[in-house]
Amino acid sequence: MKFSRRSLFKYGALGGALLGMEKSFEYMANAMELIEGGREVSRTTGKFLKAVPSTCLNCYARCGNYGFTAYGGLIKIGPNTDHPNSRGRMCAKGQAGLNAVYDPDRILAPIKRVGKRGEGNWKRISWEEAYVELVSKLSQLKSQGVPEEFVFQSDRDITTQAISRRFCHAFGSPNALVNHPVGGWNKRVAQQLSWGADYEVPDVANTQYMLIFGSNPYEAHYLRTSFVQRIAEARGLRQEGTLIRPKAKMVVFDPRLTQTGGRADEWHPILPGTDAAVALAIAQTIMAEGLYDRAFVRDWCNVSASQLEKYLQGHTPEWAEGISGVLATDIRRIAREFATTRPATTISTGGVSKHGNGVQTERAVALLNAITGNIDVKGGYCLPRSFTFREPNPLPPAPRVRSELLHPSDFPTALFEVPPRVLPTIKERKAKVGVYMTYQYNPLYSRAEGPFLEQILKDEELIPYFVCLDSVYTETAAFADLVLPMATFAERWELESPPAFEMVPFVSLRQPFIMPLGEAIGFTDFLISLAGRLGGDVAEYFNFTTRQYLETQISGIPGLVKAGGLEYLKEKGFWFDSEERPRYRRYAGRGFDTPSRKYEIFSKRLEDAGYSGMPAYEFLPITENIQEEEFHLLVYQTRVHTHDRTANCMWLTEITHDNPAVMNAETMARLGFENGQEVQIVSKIGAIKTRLQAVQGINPKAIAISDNVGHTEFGRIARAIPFESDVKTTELLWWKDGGVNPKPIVALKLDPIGGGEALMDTKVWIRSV
Amino acid sequence: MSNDVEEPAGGEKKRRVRYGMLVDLRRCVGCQSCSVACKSENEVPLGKFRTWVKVVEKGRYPDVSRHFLPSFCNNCEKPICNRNCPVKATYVRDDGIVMVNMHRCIGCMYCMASCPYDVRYINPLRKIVQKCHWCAHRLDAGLLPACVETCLGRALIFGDINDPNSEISQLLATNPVVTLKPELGTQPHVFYIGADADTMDPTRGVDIDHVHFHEPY
Repeated sequence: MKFSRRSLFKYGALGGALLGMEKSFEYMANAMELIEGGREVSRTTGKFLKAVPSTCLNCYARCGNYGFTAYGGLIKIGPNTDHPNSRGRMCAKGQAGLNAVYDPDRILAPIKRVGKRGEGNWKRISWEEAYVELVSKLSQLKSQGVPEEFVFQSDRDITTQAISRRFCHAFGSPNALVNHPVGGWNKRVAQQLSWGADYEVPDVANTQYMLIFGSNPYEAHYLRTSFVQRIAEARGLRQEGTLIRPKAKMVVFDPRLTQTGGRADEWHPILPGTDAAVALAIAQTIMAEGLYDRAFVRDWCNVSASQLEKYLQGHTPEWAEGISGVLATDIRRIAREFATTRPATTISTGGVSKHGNGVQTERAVALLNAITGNIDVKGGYCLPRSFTFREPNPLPPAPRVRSELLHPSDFPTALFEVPPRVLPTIKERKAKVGVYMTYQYNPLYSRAEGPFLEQILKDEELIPYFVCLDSVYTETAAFADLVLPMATFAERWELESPPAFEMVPFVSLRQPFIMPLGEAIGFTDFLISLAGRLGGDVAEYFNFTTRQYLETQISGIPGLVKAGGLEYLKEKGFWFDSEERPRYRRYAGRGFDTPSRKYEIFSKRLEDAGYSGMPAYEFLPITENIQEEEFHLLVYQTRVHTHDRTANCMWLTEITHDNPAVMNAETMARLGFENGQEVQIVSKIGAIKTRLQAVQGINPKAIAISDNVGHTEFGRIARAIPFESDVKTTELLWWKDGGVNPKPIVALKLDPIGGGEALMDTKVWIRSV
Repeated sequence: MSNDVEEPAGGEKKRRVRYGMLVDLRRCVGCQSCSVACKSENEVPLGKFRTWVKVVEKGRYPDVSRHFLPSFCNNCEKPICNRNCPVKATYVRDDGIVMVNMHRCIGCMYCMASCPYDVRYINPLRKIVQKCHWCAHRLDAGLLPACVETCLGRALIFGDINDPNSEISQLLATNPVVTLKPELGTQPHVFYIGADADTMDPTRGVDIDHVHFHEPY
C-alpha cells in the first residue's frame, strides 16, 4: 500500500473545471514543490535542527510528530509527513505541546503536604524521601493483608493501562481503574454490546454520506486530526482509479451549531437527548420502505428483518418529530438518502453518549449502519484496526478480591469500572482505601459536582493517603499528600497503536525529544523503580528496564521485529506492514466478537438486566415539563483545548480563555436579557457567574458552556494572571477573563446501563446579577 | 536573481520565483492550527498574531452556517507599506515577499498605518515592527511555511505562481479566486477560493472567538 498523502490529497482540492483534464492531474503528484514536514530550520543560523520522530499526546488522537531540538532544548514540535494516520497534519494542540513542556508552572520536583489537606502548603522533598514514604505506606497495606486498599486511577492515559494494571495486580490489588473511554464511556459499552469492539472508525475518506449525531469532528473527536483531514477530503472531489467521485454529503443533528454543523449540507437543531428517536425513525423508514440491506440483515444480524420492522412500527418520523423537533419530512428524506447512498456512515460521540440514555442512543445510531449494510465496508462504519502489545511474562494474576470500585454492583451492565462513582463509592464506605494514587486525573475539575468530590478527597478518614502523579498542579493535586512530577509526552517512552484510518494497523513510538525537565520522570520508569523498592513479588514482575519492556511489547509483531524493532521505530517514529492491503468485512471469518457471533441488534444481556434489549429511545426526565425559562445545559469541547489538560498552554488559552453561556438570540430577547450581560446560571445544585452570548445557531431550549477553561488551580496562564518568567512573553498575557468551570452546577447523573456521565442532562435557569 | 529572466548554466531560461498562497475555504475546518504553528515558528508574542482565522456565523435560526477566513500577510505585488518607511527597513524580496529588516526598523509604525490589511504589529518587547513573511527562513531552506505544513484540511496551498506546473498555478488557473480589498490596487498574493463576504469585510460579521488582537478598523 502506498501511503503517499500527496496521492491521497491529489484531487480533493480541484474544482469542477479540472474534471477530465487528465494532464492537469499529473503535476499534483509533485504538489507543493517545497518540503512538507519532518524538517525544521533555525531562524538564526539557517541550519537544520535535529529531528526526533515521536507520537503526540496533547490530545488522544496520537498523531505522528517531530521534536526539533538544539543544545538539549526543544525548539519546536512539527508534524510527521509520513505518519499513516495524521499524514503530516498537526492541530493547534499538537503545536502547542511546546507550551506543555515549558510550562512555567509545571511541577518539577516531588512536593509533600505541610499543614492541613487542601491548605496549599508544601515542602519540597527529594525523590528518595518520596519513595521511602510511599514504600512505607504501601508496605503497611501489604503487611496488614489488605493490598486491595491500594487504588490507582487514571482516565487520561490510553497507553499506560497495561503497565499500571500490571503494577496493581503484582501488588495484590484489583483496583486498577485505568480504562480510557475513547469516544465516551457509554459508547464503549454500547459498541461492546452491539459488535464486540470498543468503538468504530468511520472510513470517511471513502464515504459518500456522513450522518452525524451529536459529534463535532471539526473541533473535537478522539481521532480528530486524522479524522477531520479525511472528512475535508471527502467534502471535495476525489479520484478513484479513473473515476472522479462527487463530494460526500454531511448531515448534522446537534442542538448547537458547531464548526461541523456550520459547514455541513444540513444542520438540524435537535432537542438535546432525543437523538435516539430520530435514529429509530430513520431505521423505521428504511425498514418499512424495504431499503435495507437484505443480505447483511439476514446473515449477520441476530434479529430478522420482519422482527425488526415489527419492533420499529410505532417509531414513525411523525412520532420522532413530536419528541425531537426535527421535521418528519426531513427524517423520511434523510432515511431514503442514507439507505440509497453507498457507502455511508454515521458519526456519533459525546453529544449522544453524554446523556442518561447514551448507551441506547449509541446503539440506535449504530443500528442504521447495520441495516444498510455499511458495517466494516470501504467508506462505511468500520471496526478498529490496531495491534495488541505483548506483556512480559510472567503476568501477575488478577487478585480474586471482589472490588466494588472495579465492578460496582449497582451497574451490572457496565462492562468496566464507573469512574465518576469511584469517589462517591468510597464516601458511601462501600470500598475501603488505604492509598489512593492518581495519574493525570483531575476529577475536581472535570467531573460533575466537583465541590462534593472535594469534600471526599479532603476527608483523611476516607482517604488516608493520597498520591497525585502529574506534570501540572491540578485542582486535584491541591488535595494530595504527595505530588510527584511526571514527564510530559515529549519526555518519555511509550508505544501506541491507534486505530488506523488506512485500515492497516500500525505501531507508533513515543520517545523523548529531550531529557525530562527538573526531577520529572517517565511514568513507566517510576513504576519500575517503585516496584524495585517494594521488593518481593512486585519487584519480580518488574524485572526489566523501560527499553526491555518496549521491546517485549513489540515482540509479538514479527514484521516489525524483522524491520529492526525498536531501532526502526526510533528512526521513523512508526511502523506498518507495507505489503498489507486494507481488508474490509473482517467479521466474515469468525463473526463478530459477541455471544451470538453476529451483530447484536438485540442484546440479551440488556434484557436480562431489565432494560430494552432492542435499541430504544429512553425518555429523559429533564425533557419532561421543561418550562419556558428552563434550559438544557450543554457542556462542550472547544477546538483548541483537550478536556482539562491544556489550559496552561498559553498559545491555546490565548485563543479560547473564556466561556460565555451561548444562547439563542431570539430566546434571549424574549426573556429580556442582553448580549454580553453578566448573569448567573443556576441549577438545582449551584450557580455560576458568566456572561451571555447571543447566537443564532443553537436550539432555543439549550444553553451551551464550554468546559476547558475556568480553572482555580492549574497554573497562572489558566487563571489569566500575567507574570514574568523564563518563558517568553508570559508577562504579556492580556486577557482578564479566565472563564468559569461549569461542572459545579452539573449534577452527577449516570447512564444506568453504561455508567457514563450524563453531563448534558442538567436543567438550568438564568438569573440576572 | 534580480531580473525576471536569468540565464542559468544549463542554458534553459529560468523564470523568477514569485510565491503566492491559495486558501481553499471548501477545505478549511477553522481549527486555528495555522495561528498556533505560526506563533511557535516565529516566536510571536502573546497579544499578537501573524495569522488568524476569523470564524463568522451567519443566517437566522435554524438556517445558520459558519464561515472561516484565515488571514496572512498578502505580500502584495504593489505594497503600500514599504513606500513610506523612513529608514528603508521594509523591502521586497525578489520572490515577492515583503520583509522588515529588524536591524533597521525604528518602530515608527508608519508602515502599520499604511497597511490596509492590518497585518503588521509592534513587537512589545523589541519595539520593532514584525509581520508574516511566509516563513522566509523556511522557504530559503526549501521548506513550506509552518502554517501550510500543519493545515488540517490542507486548505492552504503554497508555491511559485510563476511556475505554470506548480500546484498553486494549476489551481489558480482553474478556479474562481478572490483577494482582499482588490480595489486598493495592491495586488495581494493570498488568494481565496469560496470566501464569504462577511468574513472578508472587517466591519461585518462577529468573530466567535472575541479575540480582538488589533484595534477595530
